[in-house]
Amino acid sequence: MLVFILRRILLLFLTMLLVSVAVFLITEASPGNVARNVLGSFVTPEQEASFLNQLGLDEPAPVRYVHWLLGSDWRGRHLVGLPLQRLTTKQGFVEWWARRADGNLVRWKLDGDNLVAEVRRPDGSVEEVADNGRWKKRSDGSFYFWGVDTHNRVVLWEKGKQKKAWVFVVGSGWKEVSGGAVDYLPLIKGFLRGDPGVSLRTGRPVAKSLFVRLRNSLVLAGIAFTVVMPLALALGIVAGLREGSVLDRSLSVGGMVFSVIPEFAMGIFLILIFALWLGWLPGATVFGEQAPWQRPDMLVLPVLTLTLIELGYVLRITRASMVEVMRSPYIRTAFIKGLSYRRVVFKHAVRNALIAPITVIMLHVNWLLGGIVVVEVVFGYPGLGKYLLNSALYKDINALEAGAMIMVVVAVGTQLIADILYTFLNPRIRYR
Amino acid sequence: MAPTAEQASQTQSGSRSGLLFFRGLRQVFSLIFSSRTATVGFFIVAFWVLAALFAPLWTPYSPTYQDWKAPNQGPSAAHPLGTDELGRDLWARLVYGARIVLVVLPVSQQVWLPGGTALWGVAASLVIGAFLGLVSGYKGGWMDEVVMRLLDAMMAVPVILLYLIFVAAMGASAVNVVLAIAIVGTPGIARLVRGLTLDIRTRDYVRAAETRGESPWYVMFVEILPNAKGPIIIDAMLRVGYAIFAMGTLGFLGLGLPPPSPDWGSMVAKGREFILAGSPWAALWPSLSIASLVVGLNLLADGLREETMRYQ
Repeated sequence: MLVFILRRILLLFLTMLLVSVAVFLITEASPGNVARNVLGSFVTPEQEASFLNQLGLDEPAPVRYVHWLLGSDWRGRHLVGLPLQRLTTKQGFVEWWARRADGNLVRWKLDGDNLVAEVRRPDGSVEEVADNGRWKKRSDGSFYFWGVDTHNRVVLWEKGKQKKAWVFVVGSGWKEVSGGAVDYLPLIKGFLRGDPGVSLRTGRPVAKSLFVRLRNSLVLAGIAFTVVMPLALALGIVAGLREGSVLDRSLSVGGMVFSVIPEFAMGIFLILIFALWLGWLPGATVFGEQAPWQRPDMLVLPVLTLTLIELGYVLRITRASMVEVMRSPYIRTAFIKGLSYRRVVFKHAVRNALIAPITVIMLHVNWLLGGIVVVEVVFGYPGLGKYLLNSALYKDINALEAGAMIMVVVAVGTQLIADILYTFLNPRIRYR
Repeated sequence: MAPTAEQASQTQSGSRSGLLFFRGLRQVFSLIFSSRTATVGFFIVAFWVLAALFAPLWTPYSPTYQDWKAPNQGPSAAHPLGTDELGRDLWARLVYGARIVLVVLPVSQQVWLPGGTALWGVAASLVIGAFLGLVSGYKGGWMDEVVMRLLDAMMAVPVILLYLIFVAAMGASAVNVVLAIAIVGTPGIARLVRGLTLDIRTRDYVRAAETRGESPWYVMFVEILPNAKGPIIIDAMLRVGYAIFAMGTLGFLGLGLPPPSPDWGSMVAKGREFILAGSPWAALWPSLSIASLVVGLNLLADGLREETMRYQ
C-alpha cells in the first residue's frame, strides 16, 4: 500500500512536470505576447521591446523555463558578484538585496552618470550614498556595472549610455523614465523553491493573489459539496429502492437533464428567475475586500447552479449502484431470513451501495473543476478559475503556470484519495 | 469482360447495401420509437438539424444584419425572438448558430467544410482514438504501455485546463475548437477501443485471419474495428452531446468562434451583460437552445442504450 501511494505521488510530480512544460511550450509557440496583451494593440515596437526586456522575456525560452522552475537568483549572484538575499518588509512587500562584504544589504539606482547605492540599515531605514567606485571598465573604454535595482531585478547599466525605458504603471499608464538599463534579469526563487514569481499582468506576487482566489473557490466548492452529497445520495437510494416507479423515472430523467445542461446556461436561467424575475437574490457576486462567507446572499445562486449540475450525476450513480445491490443474493437471503425491510435496507444494502458513488465522485472532481471555472465567470466570482482564464488570455505565464500546477495537484490528488478510500470501503481490493 | 463483371457486382452490392441500409434505418427508428425518452430526444435533435440545414428558409434576416433602430428588443412580429444589443435578429442568429454546430465547419472566412464543428471534433477524436486503441490493444507490449501511460497522464489533467491553455494560446477559431475537442476526447475513445480490441482479438475469426497470413493492419482495421462499432457508435453519440456542451462553454468563456459569427456560447456571454439592464432575451434564447440540443442528444443516446440492453 505504501509503495502504491509513493508510486502515485511520483506519478503526480511527473504529471506536473509534463504539464508545466506543455503549458510553457504552448504559450511560447502561439502568436502574440504578454506585452501586446497588457499594453494594447497600439503599442510601438520600441515600447514592446522595452517591456519585454524589463520582464526578462527576451531571454531564450529554455532559459526562462529554468528560471521559472529553479530560480534566477543564482545567475544574478554570478553576474553581480555578491550574494543576493530575499526579504519581506513589514508592509508585506518582497525585496531583493545584495549583501556587501561588510554585511550590509545594498541595492543601486542610476542618477545621471552617477551610481547611487541604497544601503539598508538593520532597523529597515535606507541610506543613499554615491558608489561610483563600482563602475567596471571594458577593454574599449566604456564603463558598465551589474547590480540589483529597486524593482527586484539584476540589471546591466552602462555609463553614458542611459537608455530611455518605457515603464508601464498599472492604473496610470505609460511613463518614459531615464536611468534605464541595457539588460534586465527579474529575480525569482523559482517554483520548486516555493516562489511562483510575479504576475506579468498585474505586477503583484502570484502566490499572494492565488491563495485568496483558491480560498474563494474552495469555499464555493465546499458549500456546494456539502449540499449535494447528502441530498444526491438520499434521492439516489430512494430512486434505487423503487426501481421502475414513476418517482424513479422522473428522478433519473430529471437528474440526467440537469446534469447535462451546460453550467453557463443553468447559471443564466437561475439569474433570470431569481434575480431578474422574482428579484429575491443578487445575480452577481461583488465582494470587494470582504470574504465570500460575509455575503451569504451572493453565494446562493452560484452554489445552487453547481448543486443542480452535480446532483443529477451523483444521483444516477447512486441509483444504479443501489439497484444492483438490491438484486444481489445476499439481500434476498436477508429478506428470507425475516429481517424487516428497514433493517435490510439500512444495515445491509446502503453500505455496499455507497462504495461506487463515493469513489466515482472523487474521480468526478476533474469535471467539477471545469464547472467551477464556468460558474465563477457567470457570476463574476473572484475565484481560481477566473484568475486562470484571465492569465491564459493575457499569456501571463507565471500566473498561468502556478494556477495550472494547483489544478493538477487537486485533480490528481483527489484521484489518489479516491483510490485509498476505495481500499478502505472495499477490503477485497488491495493495491500492490 | 472483367471490368463489366466487376461493375455488375459493384452495382449489385451497391443496391444490396442500400437495401441493408434502409432496413437498418427502419430498425433504428423502431428502436427509437419504442422508447419514450429516445422519441422525445429524437424530435428535439431533429428540430435543430432541420433548423440548421434549412436556416435561410426560416428567417428573412442574415445573422449579421444590424437593425440600428431596434437594439435589445423583446419578441415582436418583426423579430419573433427579439434582437440583441446591435439589433441583430436572435432567431436568425440561433438557426445560423445551429449550422456552425451541426452542419458546417467555418475554416476561414471563405472556406467552409460540410459537417458541423462539434461533429468534426468528435470525428477527429474517433479517428485518433480508434487508431491508438487498436494499435496498443492489438500489438501490446511496450507500445501499449507507453501509449496508455501517456493517455493516463492526459486524462489526469483537468479538461478545463486543457481548453483554457490550448484555445487561449492558439487563438479563437473553429479549427482550434475542433482540435481542443479532439484532444480532450481522444484518451476516452482510445481506452474504449483498446478494451474492445483486447476482447475481440481472442476470437476465432481473428485467429483465422492471422493464420491466413493477413497483415496486422488488415486484421486491425478489417477484422477487429468493424466488430467493435456498436459500443463505439453509442459512445460517439454521447460525445457529440459533450462536444456541443464544450463548444458552448468555450464560446461563453470568450474562447469560441471570433465575433460576428453566431456562436451560441459567445451570444450568451454578450447577452449576459444586458440581463441586469432589463433585456434578458439575448442571453435566454441561446442558453435554451444549447441546453435543449444537449439534453435532446442525451435523451436519444440514453433511450437507445436502454432499448438495446433490453434486447440483449
